Amino acid sequence: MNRRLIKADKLPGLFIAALICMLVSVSANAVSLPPRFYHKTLVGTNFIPILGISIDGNVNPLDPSYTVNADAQIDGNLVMAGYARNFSFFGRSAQLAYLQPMGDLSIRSTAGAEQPTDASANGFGDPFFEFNMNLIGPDPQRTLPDALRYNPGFSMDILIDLSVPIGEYNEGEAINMGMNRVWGRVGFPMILQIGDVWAPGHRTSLEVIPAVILYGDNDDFGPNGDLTQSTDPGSSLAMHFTHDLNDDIWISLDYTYLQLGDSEVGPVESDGQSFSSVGATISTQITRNMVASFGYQSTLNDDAPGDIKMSTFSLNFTFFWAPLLDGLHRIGSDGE
Amino acid sequence: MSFCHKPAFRQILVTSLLILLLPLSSFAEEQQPNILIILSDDMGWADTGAFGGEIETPNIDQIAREGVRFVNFYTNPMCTPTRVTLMSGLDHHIAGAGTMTLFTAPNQQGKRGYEGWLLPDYKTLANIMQESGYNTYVSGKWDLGRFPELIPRSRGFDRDFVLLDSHGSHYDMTNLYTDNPKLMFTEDGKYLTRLPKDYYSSKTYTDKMISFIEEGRSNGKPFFAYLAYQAPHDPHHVDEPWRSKYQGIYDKGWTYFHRARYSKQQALGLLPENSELAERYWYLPDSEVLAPITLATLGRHMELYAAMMNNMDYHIGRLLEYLKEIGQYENTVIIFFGDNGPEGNNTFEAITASGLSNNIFRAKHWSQEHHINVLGTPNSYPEYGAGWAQVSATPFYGHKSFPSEGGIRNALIVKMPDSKHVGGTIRTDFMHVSDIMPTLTELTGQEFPNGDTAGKSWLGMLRDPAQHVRDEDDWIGWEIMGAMALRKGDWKILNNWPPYGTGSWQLYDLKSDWAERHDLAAVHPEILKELISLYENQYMPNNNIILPNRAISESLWWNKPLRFPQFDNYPPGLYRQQYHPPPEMLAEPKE
Repeated sequence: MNRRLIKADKLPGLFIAALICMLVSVSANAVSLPPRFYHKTLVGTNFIPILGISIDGNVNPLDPSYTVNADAQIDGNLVMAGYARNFSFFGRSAQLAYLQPMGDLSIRSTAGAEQPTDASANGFGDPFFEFNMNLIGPDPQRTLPDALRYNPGFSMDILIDLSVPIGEYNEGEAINMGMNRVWGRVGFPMILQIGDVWAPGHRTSLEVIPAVILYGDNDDFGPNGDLTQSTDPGSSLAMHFTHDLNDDIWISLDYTYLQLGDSEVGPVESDGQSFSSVGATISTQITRNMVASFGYQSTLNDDAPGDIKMSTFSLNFTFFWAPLLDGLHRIGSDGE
Repeated sequence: MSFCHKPAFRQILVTSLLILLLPLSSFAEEQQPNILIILSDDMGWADTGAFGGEIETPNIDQIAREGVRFVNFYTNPMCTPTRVTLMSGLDHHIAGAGTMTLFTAPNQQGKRGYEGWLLPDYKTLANIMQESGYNTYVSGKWDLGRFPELIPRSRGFDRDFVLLDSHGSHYDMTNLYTDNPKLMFTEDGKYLTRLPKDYYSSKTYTDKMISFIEEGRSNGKPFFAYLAYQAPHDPHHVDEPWRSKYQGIYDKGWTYFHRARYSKQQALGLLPENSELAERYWYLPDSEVLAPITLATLGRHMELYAAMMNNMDYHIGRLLEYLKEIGQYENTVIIFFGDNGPEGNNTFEAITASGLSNNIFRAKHWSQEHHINVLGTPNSYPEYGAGWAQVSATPFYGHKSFPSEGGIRNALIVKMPDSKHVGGTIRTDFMHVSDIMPTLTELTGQEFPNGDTAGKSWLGMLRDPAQHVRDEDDWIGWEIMGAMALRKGDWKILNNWPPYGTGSWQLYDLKSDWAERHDLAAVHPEILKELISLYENQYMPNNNIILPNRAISESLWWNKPLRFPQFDNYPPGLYRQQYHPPPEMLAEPKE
């Protein structure tokens, strides 16, 4: 076998490893998933994301309705860990992900001098499930050649998210890890490949993810747990402009807009707020089976007392594996 | 009424003047046909649809349908040797390119005929056509010398836009060598300081040729146009949508396409009865045993090659369409062929191997050549290797740089105005690239200017299908880097150096054994002896053959220190080092 043939034979593993750069995680912003989340990879690839988040603001990042705690200072150290798998579903590329929030949150508020708040919560939050399936775009990557040839071009998915209220929730507490209500979202992630080459060092994409957020009721809300919290549907728009700096490092400029639904807590009704946040993410593959990223995101125009305010640092590690790639690696055919 | 207004006198005066001027009118002014030579670079015999390929080449195929396909047409085994023969009508060892400069052996260095370019003392095809009253144009790859006295403007071309080097990027001026990093181009006799905007070799060469023809129409002369594409020479660069056009097609592997092309060639009637397909190279696996990912990775290289061929055909189509628009298509002789067999040597890999200074150059300028999605873009250097080269050369054995049939036999198509040949005819005349200059000198009523040549004019055959170019006693010889061959009639002797050959003479009957599978040296020793005698006693002494006195690997200067002392100043500033033209000859491109 000639030299070129041997070289070609060893290349796939390298290529595939480089292609699997997606991150499986949710950011501190509960309805904004990170850049390159919806890029596709080899069917059968498994992911374990571990996302560490440090937040600072006036809302609970796990609360999808972003109820503002006026004059409150909320800090949190959270981890979201889970599992995801790519598969083919009715002839289209699909992914199912499960993410489990955990960690601790604390709130300090001086609003109402007689009753200053100083509370904390820890434990597990509500598990979060996401299913997404490609509607327009490349066929599922069933083989290594499919994975090698992946070009997103223009692709559109449908996503369905569901948060199940089984996390820790204590009635009457100022802050909780669980939300005690179902919430979910339906969205249509779209990817537009910019440039005609999709390979490490060349990838540039614009990602737009419009979504509608739906909420169930929390019947145990309020200081005494006797109020009902209801929220009308809201909407979100996340955008990422991602670009490879070189073969191994890519960055993203991130923007999120949220229009929250009108809410009702007991007899008190309030109009839904809207807010925007911007940030950036940088990511690199650090081993054959692990991708890391670091990001920061902060709300805009958040100086007024009632404005939603949140800033988030995140550090993510995503481990991934596929039996075929591991097999190639074990027999030394992946070029490493 | 003045005297001179008398009609009778005026008629006599005009008639007399016409009679006086008639001998001064050139051959070309008598409404002679235009000549268009389209040369492709490193294209295999089987790479066009007309010759059994699956690659879409509708415009080349159209020329074939309207013209004649020649299945026994030969070039020389490498680029420069073929081009010097085309331009001079001479054996390349006489004309100045006895071997490729990169591979010159110590005993060849400094010897006349081994300079590496077309010697300036020979007239070129362009000189002949220019003197016959033609507008003469060249665009594309020149590869016949860089110095001012060697560039197209000095060799008989009125207009030129050429790459002076032998290979490099199709998108920019990037070369392969640390010491010679920049490709050189000329336009209308000036060395370009940069390339035009949106430069891509096949596109720009075609654009320039169309503009030359258009701008030259005003003087009413016919044109001689030499359009020497750099495609499909590696690196296999090509734009979208071509780059993706053949994605996945070649996952079936080279074994499949080797057989598929052979079957199609049989169906098209291109092959003789009882022909066979050449055996697969001993160092290549049957692609049936390869993994899908390997097939996809290797196939990507053929995808790009096919895309480049298809893209070149597209641009040829643009030129043909233009000729139709100006009413000159029917009045144009079109000659299409490739310069040698397909490239199966992975030369780039050798030139830029790990540890060499060129490897650093490669890391900087060509570092993404192996990613499947990057292949074909400006920073990649795809070359498709021996497996696909053998497919390109179907049904023959061998590829570029060897005088096996796959290295020297090429697909020739000729379309002639008012031809007596039935369109689409396939002919088996034994022909050679050295024939083209004698053909055109005869067409223009001139004498061949460069002394003795083995070239034979095709004109008789082209005008009268009953005639043939050569008879059974005519022969052609080849030598490149010590590999030797000679064909006389249907018999061919071949002596390739090991491991590609046996290092001794073999004998083949090309009447049916096009694939050179059956060595008949032991069966017909008398024929073998006669042909060896022809080679040694006539071909070699009469054509300045100096067999290299070293193994080829000893001359690969990029690989290791030479085992022999370098001739002073050889080659003088050419190829190994960047050549800096005279400042007054530098110019910006004409956008």
